[in-house]
Amino acid sequence: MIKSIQLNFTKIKYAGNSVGRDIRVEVEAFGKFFRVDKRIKAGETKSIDQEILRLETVQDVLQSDLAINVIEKDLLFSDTGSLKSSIKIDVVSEKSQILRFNVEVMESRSLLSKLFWGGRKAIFELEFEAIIGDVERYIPDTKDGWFLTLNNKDGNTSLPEYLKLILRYKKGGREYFMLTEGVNMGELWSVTLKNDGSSYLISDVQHGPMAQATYSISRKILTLNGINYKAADDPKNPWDKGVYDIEIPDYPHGGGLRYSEAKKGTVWFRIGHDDSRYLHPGLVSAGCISIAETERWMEIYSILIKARKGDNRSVGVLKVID
Amino acid sequence: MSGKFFSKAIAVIFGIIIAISFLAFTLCWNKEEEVSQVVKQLSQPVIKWQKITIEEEPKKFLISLRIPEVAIYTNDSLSEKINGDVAGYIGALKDIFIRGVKTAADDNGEASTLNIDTEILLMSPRLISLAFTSSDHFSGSKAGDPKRTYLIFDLEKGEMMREGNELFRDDLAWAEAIRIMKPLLLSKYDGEPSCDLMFAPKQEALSASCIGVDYSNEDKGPFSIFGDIPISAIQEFVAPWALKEIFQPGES
Repeated sequence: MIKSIQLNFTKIKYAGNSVGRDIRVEVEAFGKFFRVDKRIKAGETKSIDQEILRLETVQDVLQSDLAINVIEKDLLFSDTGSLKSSIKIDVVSEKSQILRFNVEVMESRSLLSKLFWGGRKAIFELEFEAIIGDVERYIPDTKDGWFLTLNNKDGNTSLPEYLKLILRYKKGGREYFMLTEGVNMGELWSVTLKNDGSSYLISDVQHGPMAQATYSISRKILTLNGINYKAADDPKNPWDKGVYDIEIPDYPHGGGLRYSEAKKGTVWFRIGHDDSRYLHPGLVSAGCISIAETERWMEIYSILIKARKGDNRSVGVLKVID
Repeated sequence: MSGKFFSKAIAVIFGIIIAISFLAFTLCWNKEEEVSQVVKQLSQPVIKWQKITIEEEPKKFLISLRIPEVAIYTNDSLSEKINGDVAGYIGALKDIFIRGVKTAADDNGEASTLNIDTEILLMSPRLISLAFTSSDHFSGSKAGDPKRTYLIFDLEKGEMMREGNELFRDDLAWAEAIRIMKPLLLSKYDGEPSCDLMFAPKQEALSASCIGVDYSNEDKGPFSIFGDIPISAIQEFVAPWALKEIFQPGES
């Protein structure tokens, strides 16, 4: 199973004698180099909370050589202490692991100071935290809003853009993942890797807050983010006034192909969780709320597709008023 | 004398004005007549068929298309529009398949396939009704059910029908007909599908399909069903002109 490991430099504790206040810590591990400067007095403990590196691995244990240098910066006589060790992270057992390393720094100003005050030694306790987590990814954006994948039962299904998922493993040129939201939540799916071995799935997606739309039955107007859109409903299958969830899109609705100006017109948003009533581009309605200004569909789509209510099912709410 | 002459001259001038107005009106009238005659004199469309096969390596796929090419000899621009809409529609289906091959199909040496067959359901003086039956199979997965979709062209208006509501008395009648047709089509299916109804006229019936998903099915895969709806089931909602087209003897 693929896991993400985030290694943070969390704390520095300054014990022993004082060798100065301006401390630099340099860390090299897992092929990465990190440096932080901190002003700290002897006897103090200060939090750092800086990310050193982030890795993804399928291994149960992650191990690397570790090199730490602690330097008390001085114009003339900088004092340095070093540690060569190894770092070992158990990826399977715990979600958070604390790792501590001590580095001694001897003051080396001059022979006189050594003679009169003896050798002064500071001990720096450096604390790191390894956070183990799932690897989150998202369905990428596509021309028509759908991304075709296979499920673990050998069927194929299209998934909507920006759907959140957790990577599980890679095998045979495919990536396997579990959906964490939408109608197919909890199922295992797979997608091929690109020819160069990279992934189609994306990571730089920020879901927005839930969308709040209003539909006026009497005016036949949908309002989203203060902007009005002409719509149609079916008077013989009227909407009850109230608040409905707007669902994350479920599957491609082929009727939208006839509205090529809508661009992603096959992506419909179900209103409520029970009936087949959707928000979609269309000139007439047999029970849905059809956005008659079909060429403006992308304005609505772009807001809804990245919005999330927080229930893993919905992008927002629709308030139906008179 | 000069007064009489003057009156005659005025009468002649009025006469000329009336004659010119009459001629102008007549010409205009004839022009309108000509326009309406052009519409009425659309030649019966002729359809030629193209068979296209597309193969691609290394990620193997094979696409077989049967595409109609409509020719209306008295109206080239309408022929072009219809052929453009058909090409755009089939192009979109082809594009969806090719993108699916890239992201979903297994690279196991087996070719993924897409087959789109087109059928003329109805060709009347005013309507061309086409059905597209597409079957796809992505290597490494089970073949999906064939899907049937439609395009309907109104030759008089010179455009594609988006929802087919124009075939009905009004939008309410269209919505009512949808509510009748969907359960009729699904009546023989034992499951709980969620699907969208599409339809198109054919000789003395409507061809209808419902495409979506069935979460009650253990595969939870795409769902597709199609069949004919007898016109008698919804006849009261259909516009009289459309009934005439559907019932007239003609090519289908």
